[in-house]
Amino acid sequence: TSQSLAGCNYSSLSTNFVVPLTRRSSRSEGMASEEGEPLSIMDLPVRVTADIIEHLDFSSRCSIRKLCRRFHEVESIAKFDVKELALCRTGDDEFTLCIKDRLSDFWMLVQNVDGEIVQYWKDDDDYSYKTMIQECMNTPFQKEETPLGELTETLREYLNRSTVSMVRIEGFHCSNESMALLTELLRNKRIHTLKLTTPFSTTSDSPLCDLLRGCPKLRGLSLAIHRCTPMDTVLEKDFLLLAASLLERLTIHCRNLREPHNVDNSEVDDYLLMRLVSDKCTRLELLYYLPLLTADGIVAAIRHLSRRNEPTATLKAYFRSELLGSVWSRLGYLGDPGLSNESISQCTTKTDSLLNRRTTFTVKIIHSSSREYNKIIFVKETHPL
Amino acid sequence: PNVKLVTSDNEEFVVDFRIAKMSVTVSRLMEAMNMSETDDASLLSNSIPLPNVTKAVMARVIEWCEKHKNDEPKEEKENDKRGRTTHVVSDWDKEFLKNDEFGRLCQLMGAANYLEIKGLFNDISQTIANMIHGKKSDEIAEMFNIHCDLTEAEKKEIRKKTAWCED
Repeated sequence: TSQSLAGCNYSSLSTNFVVPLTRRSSRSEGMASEEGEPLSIMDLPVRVTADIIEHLDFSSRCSIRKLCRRFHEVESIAKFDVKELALCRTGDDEFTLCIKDRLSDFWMLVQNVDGEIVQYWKDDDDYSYKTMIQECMNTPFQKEETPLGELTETLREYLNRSTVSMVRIEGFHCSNESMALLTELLRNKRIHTLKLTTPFSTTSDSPLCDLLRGCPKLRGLSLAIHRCTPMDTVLEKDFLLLAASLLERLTIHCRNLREPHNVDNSEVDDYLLMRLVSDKCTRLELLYYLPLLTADGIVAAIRHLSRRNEPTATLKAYFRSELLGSVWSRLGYLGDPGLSNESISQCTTKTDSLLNRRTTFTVKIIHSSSREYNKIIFVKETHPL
Repeated sequence: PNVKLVTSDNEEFVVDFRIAKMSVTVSRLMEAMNMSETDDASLLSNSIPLPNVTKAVMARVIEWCEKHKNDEPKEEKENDKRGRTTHVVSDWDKEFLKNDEFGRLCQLMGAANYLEIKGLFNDISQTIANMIHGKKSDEIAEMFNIHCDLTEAEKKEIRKKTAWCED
């Protein structure tokens, strides 16, 4: 009913004018017509019409806006069905907010930092979008934070009026204060995956823990720690354990491993690795140097993951190159690991006729160009026979 | 056991208890009136008034419910990576709705909304969205007989903002 509109702040999103709803007849919304008199779409309750509009892609929604005032207003309260919401820093002190339509897979640039609403189609392969992301990756972020400014409100409004599966944030400097803002914005949203590519200057991992606790629907977190992150940043044991207990997928990536790595990696030892692969998380990617891991610890973690009941599992980690031979011998590899300069792998397949399925275990080791560390990739996959 | 439903035009429909329970609204009313499946007397002595639904529309609603009364309840999958998915209208439902002219479809949707029958509501909502999809504004306006009440200035403003999706 029109009362349900009262709580919605929709004036600043896609319309500059807000007018009261007009009624075409004296019937109350949702009431039956007299026998034989068909209802018009204009007589349906606002929420019902909004539900129809929510089934439409962005392009069709544009057509709807031009129909009449009622449709214009109802469109502006209808939720967006968003596959991905991306907040990207594209240059000095500039952010751009884009949303990707689930139904059409097209991108819409919602708003840039100047407050302009510049909407146009972009799909995944669009040159402009890729360029924008690339610019973000290469931006030498300042140590100082960049406030989102008025984009904060736009972001808040879009998060509130959208069903969003994935949120990707690139270049938003994560300090204690900005992480608190981010946590507040994302709190209790039905987001399944969060990807953060950012410099951090938080004084502990507790803001990250707060973020995880604030998003109970979150299943996957990808944390790409930008090289501008101070050298003394630590990913603490408590954060890793909390993430492994709440999430199904956890990826931590430090950009440019050839440079002095910028995450204190003295937390992850064999014991912690085993605890991490023993919890909810079945896709664990610790893509930074882990000097404390031993061959026994790595192989024990792989064996444990392979025996778990989940049909799929992944472990990726960097370990010291000198352990290469020990890792292979413990895994029962018969070849000569020294023969390959790039990567070697082995694959085992088990067929379970009773369960009518085939499970494949693959271990691959990739030689890192640093020569000091190798990357191990273990993947368990299950397919029906 | 059967439940009596009375429409706005005083027509009484006697339906199976399972069908009555498919409507959240009817379920709540039965609960409020202490009507239970095991208490025949309460079912016989009471009828559920539905002042927002006419006889003709109720007959269509019951026809849909009869077909779907044995459907498994659709549970929301928390682990589903997708948010809202496109509702898939089954072949039977497409056939059921295809001969309804648009006004009747709206009546049926209004009833599904009032009675809170989610499956029927989603079927109609998706069916109408499918009718709109890919059409230009003037085609939609003609299809639904909508008169545009926007001023020229408002139209200009909207055109400016939706220029990105024009052909």
